[in-house]
Amino acid sequence: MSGETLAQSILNGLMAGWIYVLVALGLTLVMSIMGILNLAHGELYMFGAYAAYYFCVSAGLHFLLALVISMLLIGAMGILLERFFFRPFRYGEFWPTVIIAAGLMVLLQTTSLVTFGGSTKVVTTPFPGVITIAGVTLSWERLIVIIVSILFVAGLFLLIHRTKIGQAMLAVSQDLEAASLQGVNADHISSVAMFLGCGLAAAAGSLMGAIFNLSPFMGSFALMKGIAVIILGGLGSLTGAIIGGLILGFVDGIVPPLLSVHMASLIGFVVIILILQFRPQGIMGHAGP
Amino acid sequence: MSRRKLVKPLSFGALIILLFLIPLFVKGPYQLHVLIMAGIAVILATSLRLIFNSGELSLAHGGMMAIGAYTSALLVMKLGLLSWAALVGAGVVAGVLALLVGYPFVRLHGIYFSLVTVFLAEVIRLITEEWGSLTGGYMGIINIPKPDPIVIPGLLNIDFASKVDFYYFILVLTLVTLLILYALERSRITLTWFSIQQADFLAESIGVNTARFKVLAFSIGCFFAGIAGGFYSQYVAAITPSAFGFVYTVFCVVYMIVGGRRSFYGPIIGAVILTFLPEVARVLKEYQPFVFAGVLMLVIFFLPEGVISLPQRLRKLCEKRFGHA
Amino acid sequence: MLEIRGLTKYFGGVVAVAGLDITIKQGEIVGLIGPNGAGKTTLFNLITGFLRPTKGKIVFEGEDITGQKPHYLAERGIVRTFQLNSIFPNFSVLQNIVAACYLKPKVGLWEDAFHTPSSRRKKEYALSRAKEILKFTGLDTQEDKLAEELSSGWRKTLSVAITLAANPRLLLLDEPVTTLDPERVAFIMNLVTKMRESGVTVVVIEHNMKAIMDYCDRIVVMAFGRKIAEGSPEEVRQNRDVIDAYLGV
Repeated sequence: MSGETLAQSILNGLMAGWIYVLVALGLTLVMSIMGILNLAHGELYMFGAYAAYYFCVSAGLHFLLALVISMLLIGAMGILLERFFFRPFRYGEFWPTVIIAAGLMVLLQTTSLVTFGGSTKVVTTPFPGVITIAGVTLSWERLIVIIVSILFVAGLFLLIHRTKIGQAMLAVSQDLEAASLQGVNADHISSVAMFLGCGLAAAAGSLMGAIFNLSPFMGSFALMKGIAVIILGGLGSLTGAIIGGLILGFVDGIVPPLLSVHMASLIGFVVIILILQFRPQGIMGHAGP
Repeated sequence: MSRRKLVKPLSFGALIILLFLIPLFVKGPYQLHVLIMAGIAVILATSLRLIFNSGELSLAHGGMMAIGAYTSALLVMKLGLLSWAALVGAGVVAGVLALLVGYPFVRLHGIYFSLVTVFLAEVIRLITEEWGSLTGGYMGIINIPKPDPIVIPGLLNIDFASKVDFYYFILVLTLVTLLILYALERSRITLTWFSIQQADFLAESIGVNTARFKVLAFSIGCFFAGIAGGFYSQYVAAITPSAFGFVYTVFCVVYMIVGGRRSFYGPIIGAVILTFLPEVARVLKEYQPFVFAGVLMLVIFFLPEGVISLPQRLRKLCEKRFGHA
Repeated sequence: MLEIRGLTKYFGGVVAVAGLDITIKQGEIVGLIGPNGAGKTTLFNLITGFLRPTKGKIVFEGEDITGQKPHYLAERGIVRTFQLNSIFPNFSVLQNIVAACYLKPKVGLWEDAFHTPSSRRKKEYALSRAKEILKFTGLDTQEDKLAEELSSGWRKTLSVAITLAANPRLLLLDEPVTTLDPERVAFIMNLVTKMRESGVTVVVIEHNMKAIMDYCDRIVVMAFGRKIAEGSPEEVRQNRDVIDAYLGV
């Protein structure tokens, strides 16, 4: 493989990796803070993609602005979902939330099918062109996706570690009862967690949608990748989501040109299955809520 | 035996006889198809509940059904096994897979267990899609042979040429499954599973090897999902990876929850009602999933114990309004 | 009977239990007291296998049981209650005990699945055993009541009854009478005394000082993960370190 192809593959891997990270972070935020497996996460990713597309193409806004609006919109949607669908089941067994999330997944996907039709939309990139570094040609769009993703992740970490609400979220993710005894408002925290989680999903979807195509079915791909990343990187761990996402993204970027797409999936699975066998909670995770 | 004790077995007997007589009244192939799918749904829903009784919600059921379907098809087509052996083999392979992944899986609690089962189903799906040489990839396997004929000279000659034969096949299969599951329900094993479901730490502290029991429930549940899948492949004669997507697993969960997870009969009722419901809503075409999801939400919010708890709920409501009868 | 040597447990950087040396003799009722966060429940978790120690050894009747699983230890006779929710809420009172008779009688999986005559005999035995236990603990009048509908006093009694069903040799009770009224306290502690008379060794974590002082042969005091005193109730009552530990918190 030439140096050029290698560089492209690494770039692809990094890009895929950071998108996976965004998806997984959103999913694991909601899971560890609210104890909910949001099966509708993929659909929010998909709606984020469509929203950004329409704001960019139909409303003529700059892509990055469309991206932010999409995140805010989907985040707000998340807050509503939390308030009406998840909050009634906050205390008690977890499985009603699984059903609800599954129901939401079906509802959202059907809405999308009915509204946007079943066919794929081809998207022209908002960031055409390439840049040449050290004799290697890299596409702008992929670089921008990586940079934007890193910025969002960094922003999230700042939020978690430097703000009061972030610390409260951390406390809740470790022990809901103890945290509420210390006066943490579970309602606020859940809303924020859902807002962030869905916003991240929308971001990932928008970025992915800008590079590839849009389809009402793109959500399940995101959900499954997110789950794979969480299992690999660690249940309940944000750092784990980053590590897992980058590993899987890297594999998906490097292996296909080297070997084949099949091998990429295979290697991905084998790694995860090994982890499940020897350390079921993942690289950085804990075994249970 | 007193008269009261006879009521239950007699009414069940009557029901079973009725089920056997249905093809006399229902002849349309489409209606029979719906009935057959209902049978499959019952097996899936009740076996899912078995796993749920031990305190775990498995979201891999669709995947296990896929394993059963592909195993049965391959055993017949590549190894030339009898369809009956292939059917059992389908269940066994699914059960053994559950056994293998079970021990690491049950070390995870609650929602994390469900999470890894989702992943397991996804792995199964991707293997069926990508291992083309074995599974035919995206196109799947076609021309799966019908079940081997049952011939008792002079008495029986079932060649599975018509849907009616398949109807009886699944009817017997479902009844046998329910019998086995009912026997388990009355056993001490299920009492132990329920104790794990309610307070697994407490069960562990009084001597129950909770890991082993959870894996046992998972394996048995997946075994029956595999059997359902094996039947399915012999019935529809063509299977593809997309036939067993995550949506199918969601259906299984919905059957169980809407019918009533606490009762043995709950999933049966849920499976039957919800197999017929889409047919009723068929006129809505692409809006059909809305009805499905809508029913689901309504049940979860207002009737969390499921449809089977409706009589109880109504009775309590009447007692509140009108006083005791 | 039970020997704990150098037991230490770290959670990340936090020391929950440090260098504990405790000996429990057969037939004693030992009280385990100390301010909140002293590591008492952690100690129970370590003894019963719910937590693995970072360092140290636990020896029960000559066998090194460090790191063994809880169900294995239950078979060896080590049974415990939990501070909260030590019952099966959706079972009736009777079902609670029948379920708790898991170890005695032990019904094999195959004989159970096929409803063999021997399994039916064992089930009858479990039922009669359960009823006996309910009678012994005074719960027989409520045997059909749903466990979660019991008052807190009866719940705690039920949790003790559950341990009885599990046939303990060493019984670890985590706050069995906290927040209960004096009558109920006396009732449950009397049950415990009766169990001791039939050969059970008991260790009790409690905040109810009267219960501890009245019923325990010996007391071990913990604070900040360490043993800071032990002795008879009178000795401990007058111990300076103990008084400081409680006042200091």
